[in-house]
Amino acid sequence: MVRVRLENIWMSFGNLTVLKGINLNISEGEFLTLLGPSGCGKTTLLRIIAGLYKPVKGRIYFDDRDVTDLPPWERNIGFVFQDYALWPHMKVFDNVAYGLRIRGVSSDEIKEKVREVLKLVGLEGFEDRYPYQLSGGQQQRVALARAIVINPSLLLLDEPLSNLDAKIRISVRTEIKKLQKRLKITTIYVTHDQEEALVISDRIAVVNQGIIEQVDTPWELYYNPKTPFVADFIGQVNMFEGEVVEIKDGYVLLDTLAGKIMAKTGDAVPNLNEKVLVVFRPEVVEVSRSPLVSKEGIVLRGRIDTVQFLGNLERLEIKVGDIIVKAELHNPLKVGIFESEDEVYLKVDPDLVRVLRKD
Amino acid sequence: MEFRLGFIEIARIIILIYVLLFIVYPILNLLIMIITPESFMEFVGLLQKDIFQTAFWNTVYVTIWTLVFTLGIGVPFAYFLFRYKIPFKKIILAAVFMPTMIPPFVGALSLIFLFGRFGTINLLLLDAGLIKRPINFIYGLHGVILVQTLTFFPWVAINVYNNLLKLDRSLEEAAETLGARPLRRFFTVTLPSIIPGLVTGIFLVTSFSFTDYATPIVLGRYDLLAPQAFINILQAIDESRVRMGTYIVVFLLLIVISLFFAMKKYISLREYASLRLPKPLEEIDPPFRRKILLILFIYTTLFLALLPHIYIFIIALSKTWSFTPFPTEWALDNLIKIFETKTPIVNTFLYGFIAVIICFLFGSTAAYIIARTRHPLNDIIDSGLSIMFVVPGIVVGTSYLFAFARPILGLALGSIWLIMPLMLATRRITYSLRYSYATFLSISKSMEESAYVLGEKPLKVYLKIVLPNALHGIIAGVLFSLIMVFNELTSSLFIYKPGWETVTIQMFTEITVGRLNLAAAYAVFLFIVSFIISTILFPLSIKRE
Repeated sequence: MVRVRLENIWMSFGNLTVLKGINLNISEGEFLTLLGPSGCGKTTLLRIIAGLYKPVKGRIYFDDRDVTDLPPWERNIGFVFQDYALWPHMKVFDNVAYGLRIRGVSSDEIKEKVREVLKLVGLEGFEDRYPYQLSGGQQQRVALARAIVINPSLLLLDEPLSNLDAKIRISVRTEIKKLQKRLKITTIYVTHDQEEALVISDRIAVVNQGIIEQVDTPWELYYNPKTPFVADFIGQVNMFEGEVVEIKDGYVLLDTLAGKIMAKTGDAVPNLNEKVLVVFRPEVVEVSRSPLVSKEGIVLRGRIDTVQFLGNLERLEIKVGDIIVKAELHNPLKVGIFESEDEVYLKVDPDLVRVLRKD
Repeated sequence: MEFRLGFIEIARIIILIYVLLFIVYPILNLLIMIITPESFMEFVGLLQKDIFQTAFWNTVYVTIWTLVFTLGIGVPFAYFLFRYKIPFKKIILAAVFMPTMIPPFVGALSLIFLFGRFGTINLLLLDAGLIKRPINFIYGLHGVILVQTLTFFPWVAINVYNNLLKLDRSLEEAAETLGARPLRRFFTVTLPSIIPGLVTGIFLVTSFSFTDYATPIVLGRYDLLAPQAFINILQAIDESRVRMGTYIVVFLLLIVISLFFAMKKYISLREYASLRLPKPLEEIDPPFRRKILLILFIYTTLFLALLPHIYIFIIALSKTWSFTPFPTEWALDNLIKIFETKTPIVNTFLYGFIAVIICFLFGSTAAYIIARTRHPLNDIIDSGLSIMFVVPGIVVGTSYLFAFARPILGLALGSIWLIMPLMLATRRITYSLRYSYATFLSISKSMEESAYVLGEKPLKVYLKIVLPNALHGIIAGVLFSLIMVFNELTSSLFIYKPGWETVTIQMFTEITVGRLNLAAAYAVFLFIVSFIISTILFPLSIKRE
């Protein structure tokens, strides 16, 4: 297992610069996800780590060894491609055995290892099938088996679940996570699906337009986004402009189009009169038909604009002042169903509101 | 359901009649000639004759070596061209098509001047004092192999290249990440993925080499199967020798058809359901020294392939040229002279024009019917038209010669000149069919359906909606057929009568009577015409993609 260190990675195709100075450290045995919208450069970064692309600038280290100039076949990595890239002319056994043969493993040992790894991914007895005789989920697991059977020092997965249907995706991602923990392989995983990233990762690097916006645990990313992009990209969010009118004891009072809102300041304390972004999640908004009390004395009033009932939750859009505030009520039975045009009171715990500098 | 006789139904029946009459009947007629007990015994007897045995093994020898060399050159040529950044790639791709359009015996003619006993190379070597007596470079089986290699390797290169275009780059990358170095990756992943293209190339070269009679004859070798068939049928006086020739033709047909089905079977076993859309390749810009080697290989190969065509110009433009490495006097005389006898040129264009109409009416319409409708008869039409790609020219010629010599419904087609364009078009109709078919498939069916729901009938939809959208593909296919028609010799030589000569037939005649310069002038003419058509053709076929 290796540590991976990326130093100032730049990449461009023709005139298009897709990576702009990426720095990233991945610890031994860690499961790190590169998350971002399509075209953000995450797959390019993964392919650079694999050696399939050579960066125009920057260095890549496995532990302390500089691998930037090594071809992929000298990096000892496992790579699972988005579309699996199983060789159609080889049976499952030969697909999986390929890397072992290159490593000069004896044929008895190959048989043993292939059997073991297929058992591990739940495909015992599929050795003699051709890839096209397998379902998407099975193909995916063969691809995974092929990547891990060589005992790679680093496992790279490029959107491996994107071609599976929703139900299988959930079960396979759990399997991948379990397998990774068991084998303790340093793993870098690429996805555009934020839910997948939150579930599977130790840490997530959010990539946007060729730069890393934030690297953090899923929890920190969700509750303490450092940039507007991260706040917006992960989960649902209320985000709107406000002006700082008072700073006191780690809190700031903001004047927004929805009225006064109080927020906890994070690492960067804004200045008085600075225009910032107010950020809070819909599920932290408390909504009531009757007047609410708050210890800082800030309660907003609004009118229900739309109501979506999703069974386990109720999603509201409430017109407060000139803007729409999103709220999610996770126990619809308790609060009852709201109707549009209902007059409501809202409050938000200041500890759950963040301010972000506009950039 | 009520049966309605609309455009599609009528067209289908007319095309079916065409297929039965001009494809199925001549070939069946040929096969029937050997299945009477008497003729079958004669056929078996022939197989044991010494002259047949010698010709057979010579043919096998030539074919195998031609195959080895075409693969040895064609596969790396395609692979390097596909994989690496090579300057002027598009032009190279277009240029490599040229040798496939020109009949191989033109190459032979050229190489006589270049490599003959008193050809350029020998004279240069003699003058330099490096040799005392001329070296026999080309008179013999090795010469046939040399000429065929230069003319046929593009078939391997083109088919492999087209297959490489479909190669999924991720499959190679998967091998790389697992530790496979480039050579191992090539043999374990790349090569198996291009087997369909490779096998198609192998089949074409084998079939062409096996049945080519013009090249050996021009190089003075008659002891191969195809030349034997040719001289027995066309130059023999007695009936039994004509029968012998026919048996050899049938034998060639059986070999080629068996190879074809073996190839189909082999490919179908190795064509795996594609799991995904291929990920296109990013061309590699190799390190400087390797790049120089690659460029050297590509350009030298291309130069050698085009050399016969370049040399044709030198021969045609020479006035005095004897026992010197290069002509001592140049003139346009030969080129002017070919226009003095107008028949071959007029015929070539006339037949070409009629052939184009036939290819369009039957080939493209058949493609539309096959692409858009389901009907048991479609299979017969499709197989019939497609098989013409496989049937060797010598077989087509012989079968037409016998099939249309006697009257059908009171009409002996064999004695009317119209049989020439009819046969030429039928021999090359597969190009029109395939190009049009691919184009029709690329047109969304809903375009036609939206016309139908508005009340338009099938013929009008075909004319007003389909044709305008498919025109470039159809024209490309028809032009491809046209180039092949212009350059056709192996079949037309069998059925032409005085006055029906085409440029290629005239060229062959000039070679056999020793007027090589005049033959070269005809070749230049043909080359220029083909080149002009292909420069129109190429942008069209690219537009299709």
